Amino acid sequence: MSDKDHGVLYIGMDLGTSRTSISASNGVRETVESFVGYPKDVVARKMIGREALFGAEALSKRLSVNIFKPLEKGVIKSTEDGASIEENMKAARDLIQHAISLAKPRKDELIYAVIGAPAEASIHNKKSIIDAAREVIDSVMLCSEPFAVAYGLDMLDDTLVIDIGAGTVDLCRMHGTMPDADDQVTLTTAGDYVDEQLYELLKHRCEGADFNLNMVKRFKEKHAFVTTASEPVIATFPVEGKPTQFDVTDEVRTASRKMVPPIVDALGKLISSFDPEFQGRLRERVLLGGGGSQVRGLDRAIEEVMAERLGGGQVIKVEEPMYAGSNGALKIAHDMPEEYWEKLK
Amino acid sequence: MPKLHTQVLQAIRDHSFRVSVRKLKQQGHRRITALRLQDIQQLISEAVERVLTERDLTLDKRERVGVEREVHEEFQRLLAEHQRVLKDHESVTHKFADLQQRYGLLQEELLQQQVLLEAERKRELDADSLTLSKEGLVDVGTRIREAVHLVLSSGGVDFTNGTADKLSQLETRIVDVTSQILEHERLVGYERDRHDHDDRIEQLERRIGKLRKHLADTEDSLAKLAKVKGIDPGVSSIYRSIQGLDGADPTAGKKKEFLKDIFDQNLALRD
Repeated sequence: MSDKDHGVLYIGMDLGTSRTSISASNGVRETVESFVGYPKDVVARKMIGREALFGAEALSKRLSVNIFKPLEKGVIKSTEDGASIEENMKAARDLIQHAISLAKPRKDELIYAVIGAPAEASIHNKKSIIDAAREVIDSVMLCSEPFAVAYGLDMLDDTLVIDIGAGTVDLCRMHGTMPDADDQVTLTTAGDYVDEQLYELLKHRCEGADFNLNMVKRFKEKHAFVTTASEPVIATFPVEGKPTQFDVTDEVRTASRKMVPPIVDALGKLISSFDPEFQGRLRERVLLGGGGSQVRGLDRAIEEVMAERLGGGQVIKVEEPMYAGSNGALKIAHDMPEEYWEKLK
Repeated sequence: MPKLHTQVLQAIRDHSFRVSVRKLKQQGHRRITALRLQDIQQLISEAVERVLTERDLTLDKRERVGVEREVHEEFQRLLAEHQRVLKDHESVTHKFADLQQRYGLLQEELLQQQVLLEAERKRELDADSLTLSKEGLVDVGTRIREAVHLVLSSGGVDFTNGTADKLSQLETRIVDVTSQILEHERLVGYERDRHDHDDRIEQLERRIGKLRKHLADTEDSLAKLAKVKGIDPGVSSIYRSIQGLDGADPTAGKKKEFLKDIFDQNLALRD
């Protein structure tokens, strides 16, 4: 790579079930929905003019492409509507390479990347992620997603990180040393779970309406909240082809709140098993990040349930939930010594 | 058709160029389809033969030589055209690379000037200290002598009383005069420093302004060239070299351990 003499581009990536975000040292920050679409046939390929489409573009052409959502509950899926694991692996590989291309790297720069992957990912999964990335970059490392969030915010001591994604809620206890398995809890009551809950509630509330899980997901992303008071939330779904409005305020609140109790239970578990002298400090430093943390009022709702069950606590919402993971991974990449990068080439 | 074979082979050699694998990689090529010289030669011969056979043509020696010549000329023309396009593309690529290099240097210089400006802005001027150069000291000494002479000659000290009083008055006057002179020098020095400081900031700001304009112009040229020739140059990183932990970071020790742990975990994954 001696011809890469221009500079060094660091990339931080948050590889998520629903969205993949990147932050790079050239100032580029991008996010793409974790969907990959391959043309269904020769005609579709000619019309699309590309081998694969990603994110919203893939979804918008879903009639011409086979859609893959290669990650589930934070890891590469083993099956998807009859798709083989190899197909999901390929989709994950293409998604990672597409995400790196979004950083607009120059050809003459060294590219070093840190990818935030779920702690639960299998060794095979992690190796696949590394292999996919290595095809297009010079050196790559993986790290746990919630750890990346904490590192990015310099909150490495006595902090509890909650990273709410679509597939999983990852909780990680930071106490000045590298968190191990006992310091991490992964829940599946995340964004996708809320979508399913809301979908079921809306089926009862909006009888006769025609909608699917994808529409519910998009609606939730725009309107999710957990506060007691709220403006009415109105959904418009077709009923026998006619757009019809439904007041779904209670359903959205109920579904969104279902995330809270499991999170507080997990917080309780991580706090109670910590050194009693520092439990109070840990309770007061709960960091809330990830795309799912954008649900309105979620930080306050967690605090309320913490007050009931754990005797209090303070939740700090990160400023840029969509990029907190990738920003942290970028910072890790920046700080990593040269010799480590070299050894992993 | 041995003669045609030789001619085609020579034409291909004349118009082709060698390129290293590294260069291809640098240009972003990851996979190439290679066609051997003999294959090209064979394809042309086969094509000529096939056309002749399909049209059920039999040629005598003279006609065959004529066809061979025409094929050869056409092939030369096509190769020349191809080479012209390649050269054109190469020239654009070089121009683009030069612009990119210039852009990188400008970025670097801008960063340096910004660091200097920041340092100059942060530099605090010491209004309480007095610095005198050797020449300044001589000047101050001369002025004190002149001032003492003026005091003595202008009757500023009353010598009609006792000697002790006279000396005391003289001492007070000299201290006053000296203080005034030094205070004046301090103020002058401070003003000079302040002026220099303001000038330096203004100069750096002007320089940064110019660099930004150059940078914007270069970026514009790059974008235009990229658009015209369909080149995606990418976006330059702000780092020219590998970074690493900031030693001044108070948590550097702890972070070093974390980074080592991450590295070890990743190393284990490679095994």
